[in-house]
Amino acid sequence: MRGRSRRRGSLAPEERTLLEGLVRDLGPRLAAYVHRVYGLRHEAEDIVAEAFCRAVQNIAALRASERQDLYLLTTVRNLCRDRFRRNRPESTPPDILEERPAREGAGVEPSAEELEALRAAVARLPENQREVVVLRLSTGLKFEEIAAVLHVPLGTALSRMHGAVQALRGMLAEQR
Amino acid sequence: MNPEVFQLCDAFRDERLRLACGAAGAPSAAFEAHLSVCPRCREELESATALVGAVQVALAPEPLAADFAARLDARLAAQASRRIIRAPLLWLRIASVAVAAAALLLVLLVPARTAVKPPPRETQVVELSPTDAAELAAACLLVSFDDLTDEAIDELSERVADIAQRAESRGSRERGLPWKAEDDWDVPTSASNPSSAAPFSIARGVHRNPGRKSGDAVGGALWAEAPATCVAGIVGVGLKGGCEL
Repeated sequence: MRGRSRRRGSLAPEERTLLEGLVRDLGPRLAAYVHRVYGLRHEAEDIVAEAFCRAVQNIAALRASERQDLYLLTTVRNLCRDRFRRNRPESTPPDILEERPAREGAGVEPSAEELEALRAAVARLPENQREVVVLRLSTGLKFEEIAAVLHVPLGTALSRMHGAVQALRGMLAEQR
Repeated sequence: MNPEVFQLCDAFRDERLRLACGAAGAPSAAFEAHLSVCPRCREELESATALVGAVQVALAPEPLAADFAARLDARLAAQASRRIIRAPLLWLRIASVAVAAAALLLVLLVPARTAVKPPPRETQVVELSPTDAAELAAACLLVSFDDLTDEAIDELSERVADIAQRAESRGSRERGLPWKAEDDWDVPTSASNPSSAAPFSIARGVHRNPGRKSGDAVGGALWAEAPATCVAGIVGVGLKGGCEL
């Protein structure tokens, strides 16, 4: 019965509630991940919507998943990687390079320009470091979860984060 | 400052990083003890915490577009309708493939000769008068079957058709009549001998070598220009006329 109602395009009430909750809680973080890691600012919401559609197609698997956020994040990540594999992009996505800001003096509170400088610095990190930074600081995953999503040991995830912090510090020092 | 303190800095790298990144929970007692005596780690921790905090603000997720939920609903509805359409299409595809496979099997299994079946050959014995038989024999003799040309075949078939038509129109009155000397006919010398096998061999020559181009051409011309009775007539007349002559 449930399958029949899904086939007609209408989700069961509890499934709709689940979907709405996931969209509300995870949607912005997933879009930020797509934007900041892959530079797909304009396509980010489309990719996230596609991930939710796929989740609805396999709603049973989503419901059975203990970590629905990691399930969806992995779906989004796979979609992004598929897209990049098809399009064969350059090492740094053009959207990210567009955001490189002008130099600005350091202030006590980060100004809008400083925030842009930080985003640009993150965008210039190697992808493996950038992904860890975004997953930790934007998506809010723990290092153990990051390691699980990326299929790397915990030490590797921590090492990438450490390298990213060092590199960001260097880049920001250069700008000053 | 005891230099041994700095030797422990690297050992606490990951814990320092976790703290800087806002890991929940208090630092370990060992790290707290180290921090209390290591200004480098304190400075590093403060610096990393400030940087990470700033990056966290910079990378803070932005809210989705206001119409995101509506667009997602539209997408889900389109996805559901695609699935509804796709289900019967799948069966249609399977049925098409099955029909195509059956048709292919039929074509392969049924012999090709049944597909292009020639018109049934009706064997009809036309009895000719001696005059017509002699004329036919003469006509056949004029044709060299070793070197058939289209013109010769056309001519022969015309004459055969003409003779057969004449024989049929005469009716039974003249059929089977014995040859008479006063009949007006002109038979070439070579055909004057009734026992000559020339009409036989000519008729057989046409039908014995159907694979030959000339034979095929004769057959085709006869099929095209004379009724089936005429072809049978060649054979029948050749045999019967030859015997009677």
